[in-house]
Amino acid sequence: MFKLRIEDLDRIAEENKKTMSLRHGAGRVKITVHMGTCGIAAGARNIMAEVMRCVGESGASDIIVTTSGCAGLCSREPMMTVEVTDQAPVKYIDLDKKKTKRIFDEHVMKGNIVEEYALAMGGERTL
Amino acid sequence: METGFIDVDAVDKIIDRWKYDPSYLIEMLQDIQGHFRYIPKEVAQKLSDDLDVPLSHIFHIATFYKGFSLEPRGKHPIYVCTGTACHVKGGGRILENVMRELGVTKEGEATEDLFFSVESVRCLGCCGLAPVVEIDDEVYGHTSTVEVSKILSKMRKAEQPE
Amino acid sequence: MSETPSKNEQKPPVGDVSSSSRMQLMLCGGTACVSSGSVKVKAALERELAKHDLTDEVDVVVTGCNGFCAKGPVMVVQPDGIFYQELKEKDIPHLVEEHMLKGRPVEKLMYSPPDKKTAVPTMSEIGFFKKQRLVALRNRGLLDPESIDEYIARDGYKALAKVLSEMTPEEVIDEMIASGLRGRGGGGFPTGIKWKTCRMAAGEPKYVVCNADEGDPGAYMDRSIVEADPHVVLEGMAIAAYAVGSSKGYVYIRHEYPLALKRLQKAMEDAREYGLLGKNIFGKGFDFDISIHFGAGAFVCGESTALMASMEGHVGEPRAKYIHTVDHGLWDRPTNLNNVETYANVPVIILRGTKWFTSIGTGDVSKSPWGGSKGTKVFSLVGKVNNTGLVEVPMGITLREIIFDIGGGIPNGKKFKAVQTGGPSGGVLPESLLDIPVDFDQLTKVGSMMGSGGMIVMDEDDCMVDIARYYIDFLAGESCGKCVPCREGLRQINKMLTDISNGEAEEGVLELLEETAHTVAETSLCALGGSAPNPVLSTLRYFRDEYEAHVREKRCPAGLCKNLVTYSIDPVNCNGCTLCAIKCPQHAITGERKKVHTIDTSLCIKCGICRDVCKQDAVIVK
Repeated sequence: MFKLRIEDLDRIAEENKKTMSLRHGAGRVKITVHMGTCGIAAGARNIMAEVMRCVGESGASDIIVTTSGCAGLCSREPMMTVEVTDQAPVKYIDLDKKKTKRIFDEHVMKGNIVEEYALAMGGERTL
Repeated sequence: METGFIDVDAVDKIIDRWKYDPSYLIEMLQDIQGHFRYIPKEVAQKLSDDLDVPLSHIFHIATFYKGFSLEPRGKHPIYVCTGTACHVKGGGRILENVMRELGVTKEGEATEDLFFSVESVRCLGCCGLAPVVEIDDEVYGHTSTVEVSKILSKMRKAEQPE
Repeated sequence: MSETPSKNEQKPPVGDVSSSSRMQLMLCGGTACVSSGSVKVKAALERELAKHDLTDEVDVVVTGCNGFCAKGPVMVVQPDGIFYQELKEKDIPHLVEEHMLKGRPVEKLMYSPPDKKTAVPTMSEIGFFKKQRLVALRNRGLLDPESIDEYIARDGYKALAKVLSEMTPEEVIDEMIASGLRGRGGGGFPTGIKWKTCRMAAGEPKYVVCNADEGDPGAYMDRSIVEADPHVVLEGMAIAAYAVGSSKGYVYIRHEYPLALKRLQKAMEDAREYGLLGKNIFGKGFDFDISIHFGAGAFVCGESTALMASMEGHVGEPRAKYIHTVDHGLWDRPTNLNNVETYANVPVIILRGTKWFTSIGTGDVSKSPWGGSKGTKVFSLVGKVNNTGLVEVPMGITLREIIFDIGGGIPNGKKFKAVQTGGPSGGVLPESLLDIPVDFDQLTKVGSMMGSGGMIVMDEDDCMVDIARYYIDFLAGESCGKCVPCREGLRQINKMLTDISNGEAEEGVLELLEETAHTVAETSLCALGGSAPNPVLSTLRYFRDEYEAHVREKRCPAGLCKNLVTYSIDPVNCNGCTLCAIKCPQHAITGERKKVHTIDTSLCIKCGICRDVCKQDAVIVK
């Protein structure tokens, strides 16, 4: 018995594009904490805990928090990417709890990029 | 010489998990290593009997792969990465210092009280953070001789009776 | 329409890589862009191009998700690299006429950062990202590795759907051969040819194996791919299984990679749940499932025959190479073995086609897949370099671009000395070779190899004798011991290198070293021994003067070989903080507070702790 038909791929993709692209108001901000082995070794778990704490504290319901694998630049871990709807994603590097809190307060809540901690904005060149 | 208490149930469970299939001998030995922190002779004998595999074959495997030890490892095994990235960033010196500090003369050996054991590993796959040391599944990156020494004394203190 | 130039002026320039087109419009066909109208944009582009008679010169290529979904539909014009965003059907006539016909990019459609009030640069302005091109790592950092739905939303399993519904196994194999994809695990053997041989081999059942037992110290891309994007490996394996005629796959993964293992297991469960592993996948009558086997720590298991012996529960001893694993592999059955990165390239080649894939890289593979190196390669750029990490670059990029543009050069103002590629079987290359293009054949020509993609940068403080000894010591330990040249030869080489490093070697040792190395290379049973002398031979070839200094002058120019250096304290820099004296395990350092300290060299064991703790950089090692 097969379960998934080929057409179902498009349906699943469609259902998920909201979280993937954030364009339809499901979330105003998406925070990705990069949790590969190197990120975790550099302290990504603490960063994630802090993000979750901040989200809980703020009471906001329009923030998507997710994890992802290594972002490649291992020497600058822990890293996280903040993506506000309709703006280029911003990658933050060398994080600790304090920086995370500030990025949350400034960028996630107020929309001001925290320049000192940011590495870059935009996406990588894929394919 | 006391043979020691061997948890037969645990061994049975492991063999059962791999369905008595000798092609999963390596996986069984890994589980045994994980449970006992080494491959006890009695367990090797039991594997040989239960799977109908010669004991020599089991020891052949247990000595060939680096993941197995025939001596008990410490309660907290310390793995010092000596992959190439760690090597050029001083991983070798960290290993030497840990061994000297713990009074361990041979890699894979445990301290007398079986608290720590120390050995090198070829690569932990965190080369971007070199040099790297792994203790109790925790990876410490960008570390140093002094840093590791601090971690070890902290761990000792944490488990010392008041 | 005004002043259309005559057609002659629009001919592609001589020597253009692609003979048929001069420009490619990479239009994003990811789900997000499709939903924001890229299908209409595509139709409009094709219509306008035809109107200007540009169809032969300008290709419209629909790509997978570009990653910048919020600004879709997006399109990148190659080779100019101009990025257009939020394209609408009505923009197209103007765009085609201005840019494609007259060569004038249309600024108002280009991406501009939202009111550039911040000083944060865009990714493409940053060297580390600018020169990278992500193919195998295309989903890194973009999806939740534990969500199969997110993978599907990034065109996941579409390639599998395509091969099962539209292609015969032979067509899949032909596509892989035409793409020129070569094995990313080390050997660089053309993947399509391997699949074809396996398909034609007699014997049932056939197996498909993924090598995720990254044994190369200093490389960790396979771990990263499995951790960041496990489904791409499963999809690649399923496509391979369909092509070779197998229904059973195995992943051979390192026991030391718990996170990768956990994510892989989750991916397998989810894929089974969706019926993407199991019986009758997509209702197309194709069955395929995967089991996991653990590696227990043996570099030699990178050798295919040893790997399979290990999977059968034996010690990992290779056998002679004239019996190929594609004919007699796992349990003596035809077996196709590729590594993680190779499988990660498969789905995207199927979806995007060989024309796209062969536009990246070096050489010409239209006649034979050996003719060049196509696509990208992931390197783990580590060691003495500022930006350490995993980088994916197009084949043909130079070492200098990787180390200096992407890696940001050497830390602490030190001087670059050498770069090691290819892991323990590779070689060490000097500064004079930094401008060679990186591909399978070039690296082999200069005495190194691509290997699995370790790239370890070394600076002036690294001793080349020590590096050679390090690799040989590793390989001697990893030699399975089956054949004499490798077992004994490496032991002898190791001894010679240790003597040299200790300053105890005699004149003539370098010649003996070379001779032994060649013997091991020529007479060993498998590739481990066959390539083991590479680190020695390449360092001898490019850094012979360093060896000679150790042998003749008993001196280590890099100041690293323990026996040949002494520790002392620089009286100018020392501020008498006493830290080194407190930390010295030998109590070899004396000195009063705030006075210059001294080291008693008769007690010093050269452990280096004093140098580690000194904040004044006052410990001199010479």
